[in-house]
Amino acid sequence: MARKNTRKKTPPVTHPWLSALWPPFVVISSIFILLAALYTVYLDHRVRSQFEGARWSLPAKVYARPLELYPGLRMQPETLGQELDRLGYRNDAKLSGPGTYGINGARINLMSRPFRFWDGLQTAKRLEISFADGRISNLKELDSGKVSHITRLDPLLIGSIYPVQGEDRILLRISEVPEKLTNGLLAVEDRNYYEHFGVDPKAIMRAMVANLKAGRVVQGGSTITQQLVKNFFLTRDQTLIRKAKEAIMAVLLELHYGKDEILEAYLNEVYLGQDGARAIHGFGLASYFYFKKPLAELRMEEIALLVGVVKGPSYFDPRRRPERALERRNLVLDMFANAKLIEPDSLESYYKRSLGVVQKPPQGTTQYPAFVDLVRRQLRGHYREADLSSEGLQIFTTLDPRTQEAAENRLKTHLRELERSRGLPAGKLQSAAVVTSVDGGEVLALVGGRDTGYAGFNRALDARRPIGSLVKPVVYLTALSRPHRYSLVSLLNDEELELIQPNGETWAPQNYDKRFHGDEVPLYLALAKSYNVATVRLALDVGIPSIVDTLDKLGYKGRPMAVPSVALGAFEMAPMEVAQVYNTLATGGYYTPLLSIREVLSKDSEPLTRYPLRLRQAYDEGPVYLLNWAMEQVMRAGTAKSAYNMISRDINLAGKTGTTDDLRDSWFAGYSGNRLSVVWVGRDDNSPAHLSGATGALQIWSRIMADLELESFAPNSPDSVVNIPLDPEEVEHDDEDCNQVMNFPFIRGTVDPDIEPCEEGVKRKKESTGNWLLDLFR
Amino acid sequence: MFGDTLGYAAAACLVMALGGCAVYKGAVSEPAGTPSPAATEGAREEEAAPATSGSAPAGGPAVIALMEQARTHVAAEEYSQAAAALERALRIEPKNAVIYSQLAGVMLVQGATEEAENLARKSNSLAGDQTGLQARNWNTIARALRARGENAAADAAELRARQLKSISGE
Repeated sequence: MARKNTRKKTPPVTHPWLSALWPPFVVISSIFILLAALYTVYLDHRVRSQFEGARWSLPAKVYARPLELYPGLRMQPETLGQELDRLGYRNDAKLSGPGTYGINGARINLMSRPFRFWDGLQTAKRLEISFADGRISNLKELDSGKVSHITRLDPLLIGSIYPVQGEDRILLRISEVPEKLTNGLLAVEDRNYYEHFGVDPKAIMRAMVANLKAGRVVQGGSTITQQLVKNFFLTRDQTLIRKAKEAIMAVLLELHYGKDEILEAYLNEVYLGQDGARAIHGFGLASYFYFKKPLAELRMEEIALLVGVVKGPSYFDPRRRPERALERRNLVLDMFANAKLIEPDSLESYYKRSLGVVQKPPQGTTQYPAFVDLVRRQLRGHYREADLSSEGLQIFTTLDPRTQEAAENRLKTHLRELERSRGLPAGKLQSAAVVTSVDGGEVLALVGGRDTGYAGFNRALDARRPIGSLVKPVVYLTALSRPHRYSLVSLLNDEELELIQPNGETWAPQNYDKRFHGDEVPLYLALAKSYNVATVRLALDVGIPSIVDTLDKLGYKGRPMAVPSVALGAFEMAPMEVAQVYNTLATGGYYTPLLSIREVLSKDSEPLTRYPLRLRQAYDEGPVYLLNWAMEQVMRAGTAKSAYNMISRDINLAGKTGTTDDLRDSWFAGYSGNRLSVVWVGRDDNSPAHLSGATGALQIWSRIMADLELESFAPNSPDSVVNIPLDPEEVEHDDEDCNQVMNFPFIRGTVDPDIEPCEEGVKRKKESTGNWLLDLFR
Repeated sequence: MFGDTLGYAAAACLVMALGGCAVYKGAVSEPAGTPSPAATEGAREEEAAPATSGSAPAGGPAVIALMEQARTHVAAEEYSQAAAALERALRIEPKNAVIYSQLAGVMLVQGATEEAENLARKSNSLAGDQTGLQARNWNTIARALRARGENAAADAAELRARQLKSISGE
């Protein structure tokens, strides 16, 4: 092409001086044209690869669990209101569109958003939700008047999985973008978009005239395509060469791609604001950033504001420069009216509307980075990292935003409180928490540290710390699974113990209270009071390797070395690993792998992978039932009884405190019938936190649990278990009285014949204590 | 491989098991420890005819609706969808033995014999004295075991199922 042109344009040689000149001229111009062609090819390659990259890397969208609404669900109207606010539903009692609601005393009316779930599309519905006695009492479909048994709200988008950290975007397909936005945008930025070939000479002429008249640059003639190119390469300088380059690239883009494809890329790429280090690109994200709701729900004046901001996101920043932004928005509204997108008559009423911008921008679209980190790790077995960040997968997770917020808030607030009230240096304590649903094995919340918005060290998954007394239930379970040898009332020896270790050193375990408690401590009490020496003696009797086996069966695959100190938890686990082990106890011995994912759908909402409920009986139900009974005593009368300062006594709980040497680690793990939480508190530098399990982690644990809707822990008594009424005092002190009677579970057929049950319902007559003073108090 | 014959047998059993949910509809008690919500009482009274002796919770209206959904999916051989609906129901009533039993059936018909057996055992552990339900669970366990070639264990499970069935009088 170039050569042909050159030949054609070569003038006939008429003068000798010219003939002397022309060979260098031809050579130079040929080289120039060749270079220009090569440069064009280079620009073409650059702009195309940029475009393809932007177009095809659709990050995975991560969703929280959808809220299920049904009669009987324990929920207050305010809680549902908060849930709807979190989803960005707006208060509009007329329910004029999807994503609206109105509160009317003990009733909430709402119009849900349509959403495609794993099992199909749920259409938008107008619902009336009535509340009574702290529950949803009725659910009515307003359009048909029919009673609804159950309905799902659209799930909260909690994050996206991106290849590059620090980038954040909500990519939209052109079909998802409301027409009033595309029409409005083109009316303001590029009227001839569908006619021009990448550059618009008419617009440039218009701009030049306007600029000459004003004596400065007041108008740009850049097309959408040119602006897209400019956004790709993120340069703000306005040199002529740069502009020429952009123009060439714009024409090249138009040669390769259709108008809608280019417009789609523009809508996703355009720079619309700044949030600290985070650049806000694309209308999808900007809609959340400014209005906290999806693009589809924006009103005309809100669209006008976004379109207006395109011209200068910093200059027209609606949060920092509201008056400028308002002026710009109203100008855009005028242009909308000129383009007949809105009725000119209605302009006045639009002018009066406020900007509608939420004051505090929502945190990154990844609001719960620690949880999304878990999701990412659990997806790793099934999906390649590259696919996660480019295939537009939709990931439906188990995260319960209400639980997550409770865990985050309680953890943050109470760490500060602990530091303040105990005179500890501020900001040094760290903590992590996991909350699960017990039976389904779903991870409902995960907190990786006190700075919850920051995707840093994920302590819930990666902070491996000695677990201390959290191991004791494993020791006692191992013992209780030898029912001919051990029952809950077996008497253990808590007297001083010295062990000669293989290296010749002596190990003499101590109790937390620095005292010994004699040789007749009932087994359940030794657990409830967390006596170390009795536990070590017990562990040595059942054998350390058996304890390691039990731990393995319960779901911890780490297999610590079988040394006596295992009995006191001198090995490290992460909070999530502890949650797995305790979850098996909470379900009565059924191991369910803790999962954060329910389903994965393709970008077109085709089901790809489902993570079904899996469970396996990991341990005999009988001994687990006995152990759980003892762990209830930990809460009622043992080291964790302060939990009931926060939680109603009507709720049965089971759990265990954990404290490590020099008060470095403070742990608590425990459960109700429907929620399990594990909390760790300590310091990153592993220096003493000066907190025991009860003074640190338990306090956060009980506050988190107090915020959840708890069901009492009430496991079914297995066939292999028989309940015998005994007086705990009698068990302890060999007292003859049955002053207070408790049902003690035993494995059937193994009850020691020496054990004399109290008669059920009949308390024995109180006899003299042999002490006249005490007799007065009988 | 999961034999065709077994597949049909399991499917038949499953349809029967899910049909069973109509029987359980009548049972009225809430999950353990949950006070009955006053407002749903009315709806419950209409159906309040206890089905099996001392039956454990069969579910509130939401759970019953989801079980119906699951049954529709099973009839259409959409087993993943059925399992998803049952799991939704379990999230509402995680201690409901009937749902576990049905989920076990769905797993069995899909050839997931280990999962089926485990879910049936879990159902039994929550079944209290619902002997009819326990009998059906032991049948599921027997089928799962037989599919894996564990015939002796399967025979024992079948025997257990027959004994329980005669006790329940179903």
